[in-house]
Order: sequence, then C-alpha cells, then structure tokens
Amino acid sequence: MNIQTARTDNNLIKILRYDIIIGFKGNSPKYLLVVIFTLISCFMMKNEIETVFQGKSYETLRASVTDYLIYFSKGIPVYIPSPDSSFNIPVMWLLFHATVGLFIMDYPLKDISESRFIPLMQAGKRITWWISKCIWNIATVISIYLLTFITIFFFVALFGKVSFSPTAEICDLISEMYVDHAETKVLLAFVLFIPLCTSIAAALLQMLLSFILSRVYAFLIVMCVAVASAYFYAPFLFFNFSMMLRNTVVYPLGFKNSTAIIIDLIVAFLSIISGYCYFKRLDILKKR
Amino acid sequence: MFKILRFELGRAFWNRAFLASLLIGAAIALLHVVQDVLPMVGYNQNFLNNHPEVLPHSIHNKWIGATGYTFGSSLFYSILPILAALPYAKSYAADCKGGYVKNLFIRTEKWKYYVSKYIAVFLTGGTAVTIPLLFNLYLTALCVPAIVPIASAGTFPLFPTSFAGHLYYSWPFIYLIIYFSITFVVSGVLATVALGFGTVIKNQYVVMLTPFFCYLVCAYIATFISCDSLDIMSWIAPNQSIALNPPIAIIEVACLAIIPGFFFFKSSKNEEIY
Repeated sequence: MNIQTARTDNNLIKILRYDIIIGFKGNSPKYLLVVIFTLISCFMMKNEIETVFQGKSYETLRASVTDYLIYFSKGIPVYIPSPDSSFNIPVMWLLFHATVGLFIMDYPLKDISESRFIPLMQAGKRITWWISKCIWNIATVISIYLLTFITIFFFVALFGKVSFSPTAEICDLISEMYVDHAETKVLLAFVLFIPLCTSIAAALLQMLLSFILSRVYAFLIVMCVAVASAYFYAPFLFFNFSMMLRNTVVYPLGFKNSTAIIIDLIVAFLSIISGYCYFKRLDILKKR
Repeated sequence: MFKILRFELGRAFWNRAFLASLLIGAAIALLHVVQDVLPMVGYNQNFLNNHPEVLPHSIHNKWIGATGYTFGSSLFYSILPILAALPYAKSYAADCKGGYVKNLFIRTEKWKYYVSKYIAVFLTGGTAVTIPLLFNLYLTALCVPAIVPIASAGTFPLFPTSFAGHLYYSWPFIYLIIYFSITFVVSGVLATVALGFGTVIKNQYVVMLTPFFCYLVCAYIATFISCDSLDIMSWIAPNQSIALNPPIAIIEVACLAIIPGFFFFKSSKNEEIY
C-alpha cells in the first residue's frame, strides 16, 4: 500500500467518524419521531386486533413481532383504477418513507452550502468525502429501521407474544394477506430486508437529487415516485418492492425478492456513481 | 402596515419558488388532461353518434378534482401541502437565520411584519394550489361539455348526502366556487403551519416540509381514532372520497391555523433583535 492510498483510507475513517457523530447528533430529535410513529402504529394494530377478534380468547389477541412487521410493511394491494373506488394512499407507509427522507435531506449538503468547508478539506479528496456521505446515508437508514424494530420488539414484549412466527389469523384479517403457506424465515427476510434495501436506494437517489436540484425538490421528487409506486404496479417504480402486499410471497403475480434486490442495487449504484461524477465537476463556491 | 404588506406580497409572489410551485402543479394538471380527459373527446364523439341516449362525459366528472381514481388527481392531492409551502413558507425561518428581520425591525414595527408575513404566506399557499386546479378545469372545459350532473346517471362522484351534494347536482359551478374557496383556505392554512414551526425549528428546509407532515399526521390520526372526517386528504378534493363534515373540518382547520399562528405571533413578542 503506498502512502497516498494509506492517507486516503485514514481520511475516510476520520471523515466517516465525523459524519456519523455530527450527522447522528443533528438527527437525534427526529429519532423521537420514529419512536412515536412506531408506537402509534403498534397501538393502531393492537386496537384493530381487539376490535376484529372481540370475544375470542386472550391468546389469539397477542400478535408476534413478525405480525407487527408485516403490518408495517404491508402497503396496499395493486390498485386497479376505477371510478367506483378512489385511490387512497397508504398513509402509514408514506409517512414512514417521508420520515426517512427527512433524515437524509439536510446533513450531506451542509458541508457545501453553509460555511463548513472544513470536513470537505479534511477529506482531502472529493471521492473520500462522497463515499463517507454515502456510508453515512446508508447507516442512517439502517439506524431508522433498527430503531423501528427495537420499538416494535419492546411493544411486543409488553403487549404481544415474543415470537417470530406469524399468526395466520392476524395476518389474514388485519394485514389482509394469507401467509399460512409461507415459511417464517422467508417472511422475515422480506419484512427485514427488502423495505430496507428500497429505503437505502431511495435515500441515495434523494441525496443525489438534492445535490443537483435542491433539498426540497429532491424530497418532492422522491415522494412523487412513492405516490406513483403506490398507484402503478411497475418494476421501475421501486417503492413497489417495499409493500408486502405486492410481493410474490402473498401475491402470486407480485415481485420476487431477487428482482427487488437487483433493481434496488441498480438504483443505489447509479445514484452513487452519478453523484460522484456530478460532485467531481461541481464548482462548490458557485453552488453555495 | 400596507407598505410592509405590499412589500411582503411582492417578495412572496415574485420569486422562483412560487413559479416552480405553479409549474409543478400545472404539469400535474396537464398530465391529468392528457391521460384522462383527452381520450374522452374521441369517446364522446364516437359513442354518442351511435347512442344518443347515453350521457356524455362532463367536466364535472372528468376534471382533476372529480376523479379521485386517476393518477394526476392522486398525485396532486398527495403533495398539495408541499406545493402550498414551496413558494414562501420558509421565508420567516430564512429571514431570521439570515438576519433580514434585524433590518426590518429597525424600520418598522414588529407586529406589522408578522401580520404581513402571515397574510403573504397564506395567500401564496392558497394561490399556488388553486391556480393549477383552475388551469385543469379550464383545459378540461376545452375538451368535454359542461353537462349538469345527474345523480341517476351514476357516473358522477358525489352522493346527494355529501357536503353540498344538492348544490353539486343543481348548480355545479356554485359548488365548484365553494370548493375552490375551501381548497384555497385549507392550502393557505397548511402553508402557515410552517410559520409556527419556524419559531421552534431553525432548519428552513425542515420547516418547509412541516405542512406535509401535518397533512399526513392528520390522515394517520384519522385512521388511529377511526374518524375518517379528520383526514384532510380525503375531503379536500371536490369528489369527497370521504364526505366533508363541516363542524369537524372547521375545527380541524381552525386548530391548524390557531395553534401554529399562536406560536408565530407569540414569538413576535419574544423575538430579540440582538
């Protein structure tokens, strides 16, 4: 390893540590929002269960961790436009993705739009800075999902049953999907992994767009893609993958996990590469 | 007062963000016309030649506000608060951050600035949403006739039990004027939500998105407490996928106006220039 490469690696670790500490610190109040939304959604599901299963034994009412995760990521079934049924956006799903967008909207641009050139100079090379921002972006999305999972787990420990096996009745009547035939690990693989991949792809795309356009327009475009994904059933509208009701596990014509991962990876990869190409040629003083 | 109001209105309506908001709204309105109205022109002509007894498509069931099942309508009403907040909602946070208020406060009284700011944000929010809707209505009117809705046809979105349903089936344009006014007020109020949040959140970009989050949270709470009438997103479109319940709607919009407004005007007393 030559001196130049070693210095770049060292800079990457330094700038990454800085991004993780400062970025997470800046976002800390927003994590409270995630906890609140998650708890409200959990109570919402608990209420629904109590209403639907009224009169049944207490054991039936206790949902597992997987039941809650399925409820969170269910989205809506494929919409067939008809004058008889208005399109209703899945609010919980959109709110979650909007919250993810809010987390990653601001921090990466602060280094170039405000008087904070120091991190950029410390990085030494633009690629180091960009990679650090991409890693921070991915880490932030993972932290949001982790926090959601932990909140659900604690909620389940208090009000549900600490188990990962889905309850067929609850999934059928509350989340409107038949999962009896599916293996628990397949379901868990979906609810834990696919929405996370989609959110990472969306977050990277939003970061790229916020560099090219501006923070709010980038957020607006990502939200438009999310609404279009809920309305249309098409692979290039990648938010489709984050809805379990459109996955092949519960919908025979749905998307396979492999398709979802490949397309999410393509979006993420293209966002990283195009972002770097754009940032390499960016006149930062003009951008400010 | 009028001097500062005129000045604020000038800043509010004469900026790139306002134009961008109008263009985005107009693009969605145009998309709706291309996707869902233009195909009906040929349909009306061909089908009615053979079946004159059939009621042709009317602007009252084809324009963006009447078609809750089209993509254009779904998109427009989903991002409505962002369109309302885009032109000027962040201005207060930006003025405070950039030190602009300091210059203003030594030239005019504080309350005048705050009142002018509130009015300007309210008006830009309402205008940025209403103009694309009017544009869509105009384009739709160029393509399909303005046939008065007939309840028995079963092709019109409103139930006679919906808010002002009788008006829709008797004087549809009066209904539209009323609904445009409702849309204007609600959009304006949603935009002013950002002013209230601007007093506690210093990040102007986050402030700008608070109306959108409030809009989603209202829908979220509506589901949580099983009170659909609280969901602004459902009743703000004239097709009323959930019937507008006037008392609930008034209370909800009043809360959205009063609570952030209270914090905004209260901050005028606490705001220290230096």
